[in-house]
This record gives sequence, C-alpha cells and structure tokens, in this order.
Amino acid sequence: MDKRKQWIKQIKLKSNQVAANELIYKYYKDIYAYMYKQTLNKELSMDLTQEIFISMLQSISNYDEGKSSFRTWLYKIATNKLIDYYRSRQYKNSSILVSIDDYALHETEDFTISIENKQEAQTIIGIVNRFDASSQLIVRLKIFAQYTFIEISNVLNVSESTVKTRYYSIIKKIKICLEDNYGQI
Amino acid sequence: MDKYDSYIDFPNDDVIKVQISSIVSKGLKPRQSFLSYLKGMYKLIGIKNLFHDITEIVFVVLIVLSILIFITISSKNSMNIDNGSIYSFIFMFSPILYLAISLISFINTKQKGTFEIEMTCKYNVYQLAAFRMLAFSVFCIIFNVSILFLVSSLYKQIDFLQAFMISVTSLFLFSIIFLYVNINIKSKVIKYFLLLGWVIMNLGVSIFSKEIYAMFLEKIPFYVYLPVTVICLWAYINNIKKLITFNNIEGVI
Repeated sequence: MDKRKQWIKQIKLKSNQVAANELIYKYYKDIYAYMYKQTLNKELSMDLTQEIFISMLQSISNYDEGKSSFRTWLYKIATNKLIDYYRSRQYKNSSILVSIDDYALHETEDFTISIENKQEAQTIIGIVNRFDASSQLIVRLKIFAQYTFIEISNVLNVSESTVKTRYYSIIKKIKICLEDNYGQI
Repeated sequence: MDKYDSYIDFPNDDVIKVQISSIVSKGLKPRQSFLSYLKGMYKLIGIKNLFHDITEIVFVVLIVLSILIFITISSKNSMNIDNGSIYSFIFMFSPILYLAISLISFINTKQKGTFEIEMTCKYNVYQLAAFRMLAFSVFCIIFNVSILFLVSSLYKQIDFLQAFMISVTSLFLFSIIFLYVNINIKSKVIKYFLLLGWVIMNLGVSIFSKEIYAMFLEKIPFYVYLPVTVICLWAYINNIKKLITFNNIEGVI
C-alpha cells in the first residue's frame, strides 16, 4: 500500500493529525497553483486552498477509492469551491481594480507583458465563469490543472470523445467572446 | 526542476506550514466513538424529537402485540402444534415488529414529501434512522422476550433459552439484511422484494422441507447459536455505523 493510501486510511479511522499534515503538504502546492492560475491573486488563492483542504478533511469519510483517485476527487472539490467563489457575493462585490502592488515584479520578466497577460487571463476567466458547472470543470481541469481528456472523462463519467467535443466547442465560444470583447474596444 | 510555471507566486515554506496546521486544526474533527456520537445526538435533539412519531409507534406495537397474543392463544386451543412450527414461527416473526416500526419514519417522510429537506439537516434521515433503529432493536428484544416468556409459560415443551436465541439471531440477521438493502440497493422493487422475501422464504422453507428447517432451528446447540448471534450483533452495529456516515447525495460536498 502506498503512503497516500495509508495517510487517507489513518485520517479516516483515527483522525490522525500527522497523516493529515503529510497528505495536505503533498498536494498543497498543486492546489495552490491551480487556484492561482485561475484567480491570479496570492491571498485569495491561499484562502481558497485552505477552504478546499478543510472541505476535503471534513468529507474524507465519503471518499471512495474505487470510484476515483484521490487527486481527481481533490480537484473536483477545488473546482466546485472555485465555482462557488465566483458565484458568491464576495466576488461580485470585490473591486475589479487591482493595486499595482499586487503585481509581482520579476526581474526576468517585462512588467508590461506581465500586466497584459494578467488582464487577458482575467478576461478569459470572466468568460469561463459564465458557463455551466460541468463545462467550467472541463476547461479548468484541462487548462489550469493540465488534465488529459481521458482523466477528465473519468471525473465526469462520460466518454473521452464527449469531453473532447465539449472542450473544443467551449474553446470556440471563448474565442468568439474574446473577439467580441476586443472588437468592442 | 520546478514543475510549476514560473509566474505562480507561491507562499514560502514557513507560510505553507502555518497554513497547513491551521487547516488541520480547523478541518480535522477528533474521532468520535460511536457511543459518544449517539450521546451527542441524544443531547442535541432530545428524546421527544427523536421519537416524534411515538403515537404511530405505540399504535403499531399494539397491533402487532394483539395479533401475536391472538395467534398464541388461538393456537393453544388447536392442540396440534409441534415444537418445530413454534420455533419456525418465532424465527419468522421476531423481526416483524422491528420492520414495522423502523419503516414508519421512512414512510412518513416519503408521504409528507420532506425527504429532500430532511436530508439536508444536521442529522439526516439515515442518521436519525440509525439512532432509532438501535433503540428499536433494544425495544424489540425486550418485547420478544416478554412474548416468548408468555409462549413458554403456555407451552411447557418450549425451551425459553433456545427460543430466545432463535429470536435474537433472527432479529439481528433480518436487521442486517434490512440495513444492507437500505444502504446499497437503489431499486425500490428489489427493496420491497427482499424485505418481503424474508417472510416468503422462511414460510416456503418451513412448508416444503419442514424437517430440515425444524432441525436447523431446534438441533443447533446453544454454543453454536451464541457465536452466530454475536457475529450478527457485530455486523449489525457496523452497518448502523455505516448508516451514520452514509451520504445519499453523491458528489455533494
């Protein structure tokens, strides 16, 4: 039995703190990166990551190893949390203005490119938020978590070709929306 | 090699560690034993709300009681009753009261159309049912013992201890099937078929191969019954525990 399975078992049976620490440490950076790519905000990503892992610990007794891998299950929680956040009042009320201090200045990177990329990413995220939950899941897992189509098809319990078709149709829609956006500008 | 994209602004390792310990302290609930869980449930909800349909329960108990007394007294008069059929009767009907009172709450919930709402409560339908079933099984044992006492005082040839073991084993065996069906089987038709199947199957066996059935119930010695009963009891408690963590709506976190 690999370590991950042992940790999960120990958390389930004994609420073992050490196992919980180890398990979260193993996935913390993955989930944080997944959140950061979609929010581009350090504090927010940390908050969301914390909420995701708390949800994970609270519902780990429902996790069924036979149905999906732990990673898949965790990403599903993460995506749902993110969709919840974008639907929340907190997001809608939050200012869309980003302080200049929030932009991390990397020595190797051109400052203006960084800002342009961020704005573009935020526009795309804004478009993705308008889709239904399962479409969002497909796009987010494919683009931000680098999932393969087969892995996504396992998460959603649909065939790989269905995932592909839906993914490409969503990408097409995003492109159209982007063109419209820039067209308006 | 860093597997992450360079633009991701990670918190440093110390911050991550602080975050993780905060997650663990907020998210990890200390493991509650089954007994303390039940105790907490009793304290939070109270006996009045746990058995809110007490009138219906009492009514069902009275009906079953009167039927059983009626059968006991009327068969006393017919005089051609042998030991085997009494034991098989005990085996077959011991869980009936349990089934009836356990089903009341499920039927009530379905009829009132509040199943969905009740499933979202702090303690959902199945968790409440687990508590109630445990209480009912204790009650049913007491009920069965008193009925057996009555029967064994009327029929001197009945061994009270043997009858008691048969009754308890049958009760727990049935409860295990009942819980298994409730948790694992989704189709309603199969559910009803399996529950009715208990009576039909026992009745069938007792009619068609009376000797084997009676031998199975009568000849099995006490020291074989005891471990079987203990195993059944253990499996029953385990299933009840499962019911408490059972989440009917999959994927909802």
